[in-house]
Amino acid sequence: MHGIPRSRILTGTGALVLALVGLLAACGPSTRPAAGPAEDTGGYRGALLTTPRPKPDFTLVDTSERPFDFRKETDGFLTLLFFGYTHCPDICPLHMANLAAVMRKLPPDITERIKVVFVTVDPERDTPAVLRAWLDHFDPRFIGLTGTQEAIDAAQQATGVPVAVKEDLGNGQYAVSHAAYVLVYTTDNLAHIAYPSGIRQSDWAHDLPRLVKKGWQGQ
Amino acid sequence: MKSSVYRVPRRLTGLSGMLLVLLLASACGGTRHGAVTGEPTPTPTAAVSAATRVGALVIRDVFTPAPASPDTAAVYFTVQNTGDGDDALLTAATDIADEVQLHRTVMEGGAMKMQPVPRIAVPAHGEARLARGGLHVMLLGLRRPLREGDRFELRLTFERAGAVTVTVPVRAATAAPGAATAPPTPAMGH
Repeated sequence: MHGIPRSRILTGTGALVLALVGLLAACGPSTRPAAGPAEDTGGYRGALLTTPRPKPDFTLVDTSERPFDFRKETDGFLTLLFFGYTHCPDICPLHMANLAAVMRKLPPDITERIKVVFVTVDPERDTPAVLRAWLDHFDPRFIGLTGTQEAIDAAQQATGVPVAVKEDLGNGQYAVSHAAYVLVYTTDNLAHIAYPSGIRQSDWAHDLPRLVKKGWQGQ
Repeated sequence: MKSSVYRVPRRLTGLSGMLLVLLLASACGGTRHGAVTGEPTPTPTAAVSAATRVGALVIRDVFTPAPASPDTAAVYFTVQNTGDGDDALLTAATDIADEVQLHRTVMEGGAMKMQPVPRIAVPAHGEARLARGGLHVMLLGLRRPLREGDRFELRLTFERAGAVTVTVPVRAATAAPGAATAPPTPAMGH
């Protein structure tokens, strides 16, 4: 693998090393993304997870300030889970705006079987009211969850995404680094597929109805 | 590509494996999912900002997506350098925000991170593209709400060309015209 001993890569400390491996693997001479249509993802346009991930078990607080048991409340629904924050200017609102635009165009018999869950990684600024106002810009059906920092960190760990980290921007401002992809759980309560930043409305419009109607029809 | 995926040892399970696949999907610029794209937005003529010139620089495709946040917004544009000398964007300023910074969104191990950058190079006979998922001007502490159709002024200061004010139209939240490095996809059925 480009002259780097594999054993050393694998003993490295996680994400950064893996990122390097990923970059090396992905930018090779015959570059085609694994998330391309058809052959690698059973026709879906998201990115296949090599190991399906179980739907995480966590309870946070929704925008009406009631406890929300994620597994229980989303059981039986195609569930889209995204961690982000409302002060995020770039990727989060684009994901949400694209999803909202697609949800508006899909028929009700599809959308009523989908739950979109946005978990803030910035509970300090994203109160239930702030979250609700932000989500209503996109789609009032979108579910917003918050909680204590500890509970949100635990939810990210249970989900298996990198735990968000606060970044100081000076003058009292800060940003939060967080997972850039939307995880999609089918009704088998597994995520087989994720949607990275860069996914398009046409990709969502292609995949969501199929995921709702057929469940996981991948590998 | 496929063989690269399967070369990954089985020990790389769980998050690691997931990260790998995601990286495969997003690591390379210019691949289908490599560039961050909203939709190719039809551009009503009224929303097109005319190119602004200062010195050897041409600034075009300036816009901000209508922010859902009352506090923050990002501004995107392309700066083309028609001259023989390298230039760089040093600062941006506007009356509508408490603080303006130059940022880059970077991916690190499946997480995205916003990094302040001290300057944005505009090489001679080249261009700087501020686009979704990459470089942007970050407005922090908005002093008034921005809605689609609004406009505001942004003052850009370049190392060589000096300062210039551009008008920034607020466009749809899904707008991403400057990010079209990926091939266009078929439009949705409408």
